[in-house]
Order: sequence, then structure tokens, then C-alpha cells
Amino acid sequence: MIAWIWILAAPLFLGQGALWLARMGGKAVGRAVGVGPYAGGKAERPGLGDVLAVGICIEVGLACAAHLCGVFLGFSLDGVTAIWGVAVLAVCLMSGGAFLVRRLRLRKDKFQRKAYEKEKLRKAMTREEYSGLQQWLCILFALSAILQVVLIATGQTAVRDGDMTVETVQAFLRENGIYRSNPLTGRPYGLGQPLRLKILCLPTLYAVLCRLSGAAPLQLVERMAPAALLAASYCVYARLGDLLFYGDRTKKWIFMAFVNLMVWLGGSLPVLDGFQLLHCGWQGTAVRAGILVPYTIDSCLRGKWHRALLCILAEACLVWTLYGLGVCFFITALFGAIHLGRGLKRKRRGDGDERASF
Amino acid sequence: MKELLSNAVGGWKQLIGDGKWMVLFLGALLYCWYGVLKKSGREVLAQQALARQMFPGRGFPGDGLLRYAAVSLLLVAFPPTAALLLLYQTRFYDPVWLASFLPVTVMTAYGAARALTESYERFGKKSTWRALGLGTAAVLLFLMCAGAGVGFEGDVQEMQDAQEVLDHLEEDRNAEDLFLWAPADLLRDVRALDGSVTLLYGRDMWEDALKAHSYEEYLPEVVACYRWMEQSCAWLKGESDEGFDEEALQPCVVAALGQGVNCILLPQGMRGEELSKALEGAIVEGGYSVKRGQAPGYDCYWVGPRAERA
Repeated sequence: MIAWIWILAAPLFLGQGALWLARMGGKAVGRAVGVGPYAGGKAERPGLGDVLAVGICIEVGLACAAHLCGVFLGFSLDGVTAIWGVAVLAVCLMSGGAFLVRRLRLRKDKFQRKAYEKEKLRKAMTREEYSGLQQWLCILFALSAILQVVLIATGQTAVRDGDMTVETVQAFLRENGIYRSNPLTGRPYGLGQPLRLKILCLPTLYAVLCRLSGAAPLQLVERMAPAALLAASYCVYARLGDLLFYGDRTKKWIFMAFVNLMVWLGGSLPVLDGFQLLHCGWQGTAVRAGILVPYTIDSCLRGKWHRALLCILAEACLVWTLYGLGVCFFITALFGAIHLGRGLKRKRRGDGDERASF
Repeated sequence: MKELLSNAVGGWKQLIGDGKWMVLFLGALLYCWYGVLKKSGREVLAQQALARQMFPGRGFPGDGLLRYAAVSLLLVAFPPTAALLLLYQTRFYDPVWLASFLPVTVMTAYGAARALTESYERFGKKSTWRALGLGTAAVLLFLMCAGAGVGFEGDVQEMQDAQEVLDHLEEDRNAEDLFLWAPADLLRDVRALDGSVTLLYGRDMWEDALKAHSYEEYLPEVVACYRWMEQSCAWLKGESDEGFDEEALQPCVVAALGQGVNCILLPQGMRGEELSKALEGAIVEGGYSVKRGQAPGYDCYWVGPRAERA
């Protein structure tokens, strides 16, 4: 139970906290986590997908910092756990403080409070009811997604071939240190392992969560984390669906149903997102496929390049890449190139003509 | 370079061979592209005005996704650029991982959702049955393209079996650390269940993908131990008639015990007695004592220096 709370609450608190902090006006932080003008020029209101994706990126970043202390400074796992715990607590406290300051300001400033209440009322008035078809689509998607989460959480779908994360976490916990013995045999390393692999922080994050919650590594790594990842991934996809169909709920939920179907059917090609999420959701490549890639695409489509940068950094901490340049960087660079190309073409043809699109 | 190019082509072949996801992806891409091309000049202008209002300076997100999907598909499918992408993704990944650069899930789901809703709207008169029919047709198409039936089963049962064996060994061991030599089927799960158990060799002995995770290499005598164990297990389970290698038994046992092994497990079987006697003989001949026990599905041989166990 404690493990579930840690797995679900940490990204939520961190993401919400970072977004609050950014909102409070810290310009540098704001650029890093990206709060800017939304479509139509209104201030952006982050959704659950946003909060979770940013939270996971920050969680991974903090874990990587703590992990590097363990690898290069020889900190024990207890020390690494303390560093990560304190960092998470600090971000949560800061964001809590930011939230309080915001509420106090709101209470003091009559004009702001009125505007806030007016906005709240407008939202309540303009909130559309779900139609019958939309309700059915929602229910269908929810049932299917819950079934997937249950299957993952009971360990029915886990495929461990080619992966040694659980063994690595077991070794970390047993030795109370990072990479002190070969995880596959438990014997001391003779020649060691590649540095690019050694700096990836996911096993440390799982070991820290195991230490904090007391959960068994197999349970946490192969069952809880992938189940939570799948749920978070659907939130990110829902955000992307919102953007692609600009608010058309029916189309968005049909899109989500197809994403769900692709997760079910992904087994035929192990490199696809569906397989990654359903069968090996604890791996770095699964986090990339389920969270980072859709969020990078979403950020690039919204023109929020700084959020894409967060994903690039998180990928470098999680997955073996070309010196930090992975799939997220490729996506961002390609989107950037297309964007620049279109801009240049539009300029050449004159500002009003946007026929350059195709 | 030649090798890279052939790898790139091989990766693409693998992508279009395993299931037909690429067909769906391409179908979604072409559908959306056709939707853009067939618009009249007036429709384009109206859309542009709407896009300027809703997404200033960026255009419709769907069009952006379409452009990205098209360019990335060209880069992955064209061998020279695919070879460069192979270099970019590093040798750690197989060529088939080029699929990571393609937005397969997003684009396919986007195209399918658009195709479904737009074809429903095109019918004019709307009915629940028509919607259900279209939805079912789309799901069937996905099932056919995905290669339905291809799937992976979890390893819950194997894990439970391994846990039972470990629990049994836990009761028997004399407060000493367990150093295990056992069949690969069991060793596969042991370290995932209990980090305190040491193994003579791990999964990287038979799973090539794991060899990239470290620079470690096994000694030839440890590799011989693995081969002897697997051959003997196949014979014990009745999967092979080759018998166990009597000549290799003594050197393998000496090598394993020299590495520190204190527990050997062999699967129980009809032919077990002959092998059991040979193994016990080899252990005693090597200067160690042996105590026989049992674990669920396995015969267990506890090994110790003669003075301690005798």
C-alpha cells in the first residue's frame, strides 16, 4: 500500500509542485517546465497528463542526481535514498509554499479574486455534458484500461527476457550500494560494465522506492510500476488527443480507444509502444514509449520546446542513447526543422499565404 | 557502411514482417494526407483562418503530426538515412528499434479515429447500428494487421515454482549463504526472487541480449558446467536420449565446487538414480562431503568440506 502511494503520489506532487512554482513567477523554472500562452492566448491550465509527465521527468532527474552520487562518490543505497527523499520533500515543500502564497495573494487582492471566481463560474456554466455515445466510449475505454492495469498488477503479462532490472534492484538492496556486484550472479564484478549503462538511474529509483516502502522488488518493479506507468501514459495520450481533435470529445475518446487497442495488440512487434507498456512497463524504453515520446510530440505540436527539453533530459537518464541524444531529441529536432522550414517558406511567399503547408 | 546498409534494410524488413502495423501506419498517413490534398482552395483558406485563430503561428496540430510522421517514415524507410539513424541509436539496439523514431501508435490511432468519424459523418443518416458496424470493421482490421494470436505469456507460474524451491532450500541451509548450481529454468528466476543467493552463472549465459550489460565473460570451465547441466537435465526429463556426459562430470564438479558452489540441484526423473550416484561419487572424489535432500521437483545436493559435513 505504501509503495502504491509512493509510486502514484510522487510524480503527482512533483509535477503539480513544479507547475505551481513555475506559475508563481520564477521565470527560469517557468521556462524549464513550460507555462506559457495557451491556444487562443489564454494562460495555460495544466491537465493531469501534463502534471504526471512533468512529475515523472522531475522524479527521474532527482533520482539520477542521487544515483550519480552513489556511482561516483560511493554513497550507500541508504545515503542515496536520503538524498532523493530530501530532494523530493524540498520540491514538495517549496510547491506547497508557492500554493499557499498564491492563495494568500488571491485572498488579499480583490480584483484577482473576482476574476478567479468569474472564471470558475464561466467554466461551470460552459461545461458540456457528455453525450450518450461519449459516455459509452468512456466506459468502454475505462473498462479495457482497468483490465490491462489489473493484468499487469497481477504479473500476468510480464516478460523479463533480455532485462535484468529486478535482479539489479535486488543486488542494490542486498549490498546497500550501487553496482557493487554482478546482479545476474551476485558475484563481484571482474571487468565491470559500460559507463553509459552505469549512469542510467531507473534501477536506483526502484531500489529507493523499495527501501522507502518496504515492498518486494519483484512486486514493485514488475507489477506496480508498470501498472502506474500505463495509467499515466493514458493521461498523456488523452492530453495529446485533446490537442489533435481540439476539444471534440467523441473523436478524442475514439482516439483513446484505438490507442488502447494498440496496447492490447502490440505483442506481435516487441519494439512497439503496446508491447512495451503491457509486457515490460518497468523498463526505460517503456517510460520513453509511454510518457516521453507522446509528451514530446504534444509539446512540439504546442510549440513548448522547453518541455521537450525536459523529456530529452529524462530520456538521457533512463535509456541508453547516443551521449544523451535519443528518440526525444530526434523528434524535437525534426519538428524544429519542419517548423523552421515552414516558417521560411511562408516568409518567402508572403505572411498571409499559409498554403505552404502542403 | 555496407553492413550498416544491409542492417537498415533488414530492420525495415523485420518491421513490415512481424504483424502489419506498418501497413496500418501507412494507411493512416495516406488517409490523412489525402484529406489535406483533396480540400478545395476555399476550404483551405477557411481552415487557415481557423488555425490562425486557434493555434496562432503553428497551424493545426494534426497537420504537424502528419508532417512529422511522413518525414520520419521517409528517413526510416530510405536505406542511407536509416543507416545514419542506426549509427545514431547506437549498436546497443537491433535495427528493428528504428521503429522508435516513428509515431506508430499516435499516427495510427489518429488516422483511425479520423477515418471512422469522417466516414460515419459521410453516411448522412446516423444510426447506432451503422456506428457499431464501422467500429467492428475497424477493430477487425486492427486484429488482422496486428497478427492476432501472437502474444507473450507472463511467467507467474515459473516464479511461484522457483519461490517454492527457494523456500525449501532456505529451511535446509545451515545459516550459510546459498551458492547455487542448477538448471537454467530455475536459475532464470532465482536472483529476481532472492538477492542473497549467489549463482555459478546467470541469465547472460544463455540470453545474448544481456551480454551487452557488462564486460564480464565466463571462464571456459563455467561454460562447460552450464553445458553439462543442460544436457543432463534434458536426459533426466526424457527430452533427449544422449545420456549425461560421464567424462565431463568430474571436471565440471571440481570447477563448480572450486568456484564456491555449496548446493547443486538436479530435476527429479526416472533416470535420476544413475546420475545421482555418479554426481555424489564425483563430489566425494573431489574432496568434499555431500548430503542429499529434496526440494519440490528437484534433488538437492548440499556440498561442504569433508570435515564439516561428514
